[in-house]
Amino acid sequence: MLVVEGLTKLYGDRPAVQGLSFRVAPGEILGLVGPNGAGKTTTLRSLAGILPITEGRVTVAGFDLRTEPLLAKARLAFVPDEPALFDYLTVEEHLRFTARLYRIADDTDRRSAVLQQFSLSAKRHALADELSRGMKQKLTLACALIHDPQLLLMDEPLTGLDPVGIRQVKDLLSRRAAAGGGIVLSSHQLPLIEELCTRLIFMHQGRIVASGTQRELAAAYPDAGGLEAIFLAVTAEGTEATE
Amino acid sequence: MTSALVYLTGRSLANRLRTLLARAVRPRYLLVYLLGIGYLWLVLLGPHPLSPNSPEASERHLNQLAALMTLLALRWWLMEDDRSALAFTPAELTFLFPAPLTRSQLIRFKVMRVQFFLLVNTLFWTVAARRTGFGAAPDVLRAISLWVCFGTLYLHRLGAALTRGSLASRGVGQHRPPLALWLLVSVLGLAPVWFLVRQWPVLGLAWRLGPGSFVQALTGLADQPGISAVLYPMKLLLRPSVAPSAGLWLQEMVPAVLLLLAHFAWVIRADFEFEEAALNASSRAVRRLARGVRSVGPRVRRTLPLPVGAGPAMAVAWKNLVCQSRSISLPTMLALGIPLCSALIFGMMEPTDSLREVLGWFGLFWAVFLVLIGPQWIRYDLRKDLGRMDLLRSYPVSGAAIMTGEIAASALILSAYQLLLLSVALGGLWHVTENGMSTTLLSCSFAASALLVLPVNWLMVAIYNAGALLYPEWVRRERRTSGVEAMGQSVMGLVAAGVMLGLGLVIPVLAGGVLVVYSYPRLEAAALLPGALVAMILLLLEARLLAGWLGRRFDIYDLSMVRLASSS
Repeated sequence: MLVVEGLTKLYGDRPAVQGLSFRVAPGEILGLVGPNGAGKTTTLRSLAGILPITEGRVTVAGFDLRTEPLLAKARLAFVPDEPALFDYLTVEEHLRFTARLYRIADDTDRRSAVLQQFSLSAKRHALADELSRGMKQKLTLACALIHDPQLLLMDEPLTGLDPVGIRQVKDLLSRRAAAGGGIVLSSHQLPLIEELCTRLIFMHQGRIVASGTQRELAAAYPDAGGLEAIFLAVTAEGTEATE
Repeated sequence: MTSALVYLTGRSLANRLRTLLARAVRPRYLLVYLLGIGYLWLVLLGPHPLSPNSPEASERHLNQLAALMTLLALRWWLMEDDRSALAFTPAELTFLFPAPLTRSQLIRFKVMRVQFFLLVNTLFWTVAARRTGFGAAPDVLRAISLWVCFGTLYLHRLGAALTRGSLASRGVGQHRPPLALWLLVSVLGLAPVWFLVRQWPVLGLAWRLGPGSFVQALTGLADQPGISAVLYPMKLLLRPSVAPSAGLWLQEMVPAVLLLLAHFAWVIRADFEFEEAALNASSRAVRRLARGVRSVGPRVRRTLPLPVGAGPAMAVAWKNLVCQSRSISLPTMLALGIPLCSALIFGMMEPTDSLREVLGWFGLFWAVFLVLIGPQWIRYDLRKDLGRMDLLRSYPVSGAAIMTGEIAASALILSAYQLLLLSVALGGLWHVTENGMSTTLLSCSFAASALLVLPVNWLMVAIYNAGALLYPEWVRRERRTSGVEAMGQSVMGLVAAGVMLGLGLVIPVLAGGVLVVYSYPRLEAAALLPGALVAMILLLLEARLLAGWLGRRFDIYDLSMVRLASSS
C-alpha cells in the first residue's frame, strides 16, 4: 500500500526528517509517535505530496509519488491537525468540490453517506465558517473519505471531537482497516494509538528510533510496562544518542 | 483547469455575495451600504464629468504611474517577504495540494481566482479614469486595457516570486536576492537618485514657482533617456488606457497584449517545485493573521516596562503598545520612516532654504494626513481584540477602562510620530519669511498644534473603535488583506471617520476660534495658544464622553452571533 524508502526532507540545510524507511500493508494502521518537533507532520505532508521530498522514494499503491504524482495522490487522503476549510463554501459544497477534485462522476450517494456517517446532514447548507470546531473536524474527515482512498494519512484526527465523534472515528478507522485500507496516524494521544494501531513508529529528531508491533515493543522494553513508558524511554535514548 | 476548481471559485463567489446581501438586511448595515452607494455615485458617476486631459497632461500622468509601477515591480523582485505572492489559503493547501492536480493547474487556479478582484478594480478605475479625464477612448476599451495592465502586473508579481523561489531552490540567494540582482537594482535605483540630485537646481527653481510647477518638472525628468528606458515596459502597459481614440487604442493594445501573453507563458511554464515556498508563505500569512506578529526569528524580544501599580486601562494600553511594536509591517515602517529619514538626510546635506521649505511643508502635510490615514495603519486597539472579546469581558474591569486602554496605545503612537513631524515642519519652515510668515506665528502655530495632536488623535482612534463595536463584521483583523470588500471597507471607513471627526471638531474649533479672534488684538500670534487650550479641553471632554459610551456598549455587546471578517 505504502512504501517509504530513505525519505529525507530538508528545510534549507536543516534536516526535518532523515532516512525514513517503512511500509504500510493493506489493512494496517501505522501509528507515528514522537515528541513535538520530531518530524511527524513533515513526514505526513511529504507522504501526501504537499511537500516535495529531498531524497528517497515514496510509492502509494505502486505509484511513485515523484514520477506519477497524480496517480499516487488519487489513492490517498490527508487529514491535517487543524481543520482548514473554505469559509464561503457550505458543508455540502465542500463534499461536491472534493468529489470533483478526485473526478467522481456521480457523488450523490457517497455525499449522503458521509453526511449521515458524520451527523452532518442537518448542517449541509451551513457555511464552514458557521460550524463549531468539532463540526469542522468532522467535515474535514468527511471530505477525506468521499473518494474512498486506499491510504489515509491523519494528523491528530480526534482533536476537537466530542466523545460520540471520537467513538465514530475510531470505529470508522477500524472498519476501513478491516476492509483492506491502509492508515498512517500521527497522534499524541497514546491511548488512541494503543487501541487502534497495529504497528508503531517512534520518531525523534527526524529519525526512527524504534518500531514494531506493540508486542514487539513490549518485548524490547520489558521494564517499561506500557506505551507511555516506552515513549519516554525511546525518546530519552534518542536524545542521549544525539548528544 | 479542472471543473472542480471552477466550481470552487464560482460557489465561493456566489456565497460571498449572498453573505453580503444577507448582511444588508440589517438596518444599520443597510444604511451604510446606501450611504456608500450614494457616495460612490456622487464621486464616480456624478454630474460633473471632466473633459479629457491635454496630451501633455496625459503623458505626464503616464510617467508618474509608470514610475510608481516600476518601483512596485522592483519591490517584488527584492523583498523576500513578497514570496507571499505564492501563498495559498490553509483550505487550499489542505484540499488542493494532496489532490491529483498538476502544478500548472494550481497556478492557473491562482490566476483564475484573482480575476474577480481584477475585474472590480478595473471597473472602479475605468470610471475613476473617466472622471479625471485620463484618456478619451470609450469606457469598454479603457476597461479592457486596464484589465490587461492589472493582469500583467499580477502575473509579473507571481512570476517574480516563482523565479526567486526557483533560484533559491538551486542555492542561489537562499534568503535574499543574488548579489548580481542587488547590484543591477542598486544601479537602477541609484541612477535616478543621482540624477535627481544633479537636477536639483532646476527642481528648486520649479518649486519656487509653486507645487504644480515642481510636480511638472519632476515628471518631465521621466523623458530623459536613462529614466525613460527604465519606465518603458510600464508605459507600454499604460498607453492603451490613455489612448485618445479607438484607432490608436488598437495600435497601443498590441504590445500590451503581447506583454500579457508573455507573462502568462512565463508563469505557467515556470519549472519550480513551489509547494514548500507556498506552504511557508501561507504559514507566515496565517501566523500574521492569527497573531498579527511578524516572524522575527529566535531573537530575544524587547519589552516595555509596565509599572507595578498600573491600572487595567494602562495594562491594556501597554499590551497594545508592545504588540504594535512587534507587528509593524514594512509598508508601515516605510510610510512612517521615509519623512524622518528624508529630514535626516537633508539635514546632513546642509540644504538650501528651498530644500528646507520643501521638507517643512512635507512634514506638515504628512502630520495632517496621518490624522486621517494613521489609524488605518496603527490598529492595535479594539479592532485587533474583537476576536478576544470574551476574554476581555471575563476580566473584572469596566468597559470604559478597557476602551480607554484600547484607544490610548494607537493615539499615543500616532501623536508621538506627528510631534516629530511637526518638529521637522517647524525646522524646515523656520527661515521662510518670504510669504510673510513670522517666526512668532510659526512657533505659536507649532505650540498650538502640539497641544491639539493627542486629543485629535484620541478622538479619531475612538471613532474607528466605535466603528468596530457597531460594525464588527466589517473590521479586518489584519491591515494587509485584499478583496473587494476590504478595499471598500478601507475607503468607506476613511470617509466615515473623516466626516465623524469633522463633526467632532465643530464645537472645539468654533470655541477656540472665537477665543482667538477675541484675544488677537491684544495677544496677536500668541492668541493661538489660549484658543488651542480651549479646543483641547473640549476635545478631551468629547473623547471622554465617547469612551464612556463605548464602554457601555462594550459591556452589553453580544458577539456570539457575529461572524468576524476573515481574510480568505
